[in-house]
Amino acid sequence: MKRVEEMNYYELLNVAVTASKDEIQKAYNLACQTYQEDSLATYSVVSETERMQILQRIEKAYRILMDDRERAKYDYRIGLADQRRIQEKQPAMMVAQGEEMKGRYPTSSSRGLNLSAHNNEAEEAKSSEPPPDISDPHYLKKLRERKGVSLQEISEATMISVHALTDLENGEYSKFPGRVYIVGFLRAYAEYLGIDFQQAKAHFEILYGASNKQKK
Amino acid sequence: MLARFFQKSENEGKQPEKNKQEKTTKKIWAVAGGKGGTGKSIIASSIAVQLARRDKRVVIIDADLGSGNLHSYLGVTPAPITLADFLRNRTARLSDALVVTQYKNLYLISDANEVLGLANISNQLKENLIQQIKELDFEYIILDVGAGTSYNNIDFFLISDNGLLVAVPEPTSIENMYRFVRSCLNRKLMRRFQDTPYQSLIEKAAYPREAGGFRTIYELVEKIYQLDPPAAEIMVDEILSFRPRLIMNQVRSQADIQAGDSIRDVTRKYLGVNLNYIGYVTYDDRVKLSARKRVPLFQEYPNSGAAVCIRNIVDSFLG
Repeated sequence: MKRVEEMNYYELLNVAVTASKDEIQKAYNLACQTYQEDSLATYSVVSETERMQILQRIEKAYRILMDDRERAKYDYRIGLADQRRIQEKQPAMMVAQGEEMKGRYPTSSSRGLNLSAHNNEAEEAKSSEPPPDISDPHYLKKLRERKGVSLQEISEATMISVHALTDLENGEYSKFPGRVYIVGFLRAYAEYLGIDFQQAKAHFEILYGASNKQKK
Repeated sequence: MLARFFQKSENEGKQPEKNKQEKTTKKIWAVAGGKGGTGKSIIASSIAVQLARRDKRVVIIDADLGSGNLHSYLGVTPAPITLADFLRNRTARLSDALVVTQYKNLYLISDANEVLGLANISNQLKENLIQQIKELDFEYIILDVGAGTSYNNIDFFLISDNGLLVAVPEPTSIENMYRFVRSCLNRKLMRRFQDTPYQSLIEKAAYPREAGGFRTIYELVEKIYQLDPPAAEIMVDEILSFRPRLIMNQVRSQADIQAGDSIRDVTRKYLGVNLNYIGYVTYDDRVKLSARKRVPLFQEYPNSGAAVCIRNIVDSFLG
């Protein structure tokens, strides 16, 4: 059970993670029909703003899932790569949402609603390259690239400009109005990527301390 | 912390082994729609006839208190003892109101339309009625629930978690159907969280436009989660266990049929309810003709489009 804005593209289109392009096309057609203007189904429940928002997400989901390369990257980012490989051995089927929904809501073992779209530690661990050191000036950029996420994507999700994100990755802290902004942006960046915020903050403290020393 | 509030109701829900077995073999299907004129009575009666024809022991109850007319759809003359007699204490057992129909396995308990004010029965009376409905000795108990979101209608619908909703492809019908789903979910949560500190929060969820109200069920769950994660888990279980089924009636086009899929999607995404779209019934003039003649659709027009659709729906139920 999830809010629309927290659903991944498969959930949004109501297809299995193993869905063929034909199935995705059909699901997309139905979704467009469901959320079109004057749709009977949305009457009295979905506001105009919500309708426009979900249509935008549906378009994006369709574009990504119909492109093999983009889809593979997306699967990797949301931690579906393994699951997909397993399910490909089974007949494709529509997702049984009832069971699938269970566990999406917060449980005592999972803290609240997971804001991270890229929490794929299993894939991380398999990566042949060791994770970058927090003292590495390109620590954030390297982590992001390992996850195959673009700055544009983070920008869309966090509403932080690409320029600011670039400065954050490059340690150009003097370009920010103050420390509080940097930490706030860093938190949003880390949450979206699904990386440890404390580690990211430790990296920041090292670079921030070094840049302050240089100024002196 | 909140576990103590739920312990009691969990124990209360436990039944003796024998009753548990009965529960698994007896099926109660409530048919509602939120709005009048969607054809729920004819669908309810047709489903009952179909089940009876397949050698199932079936009783259909006109639970449209105050304005039922199910007997007309089944070609049965008004019974000497009706639900009204039970509700007016003129008979102690609901089973006294059972009347035979032309189908050997199908029985009817007809409506209480003769008495003013019976649409507003007391809680105690309603609980007694519900208890006696559950005790009726039939394989299938079909309830034809009235229109609107009165507590009576909602409580009858919630006797079976997987009740049937009948809607027609018109905005007013869909709007009322959504309203009915929301009301049922709210009532279900209110009951589960009775006598807990969260009752007032759940009540607020019923009035999303009021100050401090929750616009969606997700907001309510998140609020409860902030206060008490185990309680939020119970709430999620309760929400997920509510799985009504949808029948689109009087469809005239492919778009009308697909509207059911769209409604299912919107209900899941925006109301948080796992609605299952189980089938559609085509618009068919012969439905009206059979109603006018006061004979069951399956007797007069067994091969009509509408009858075939209903047969398919029953097939899908029975696997």
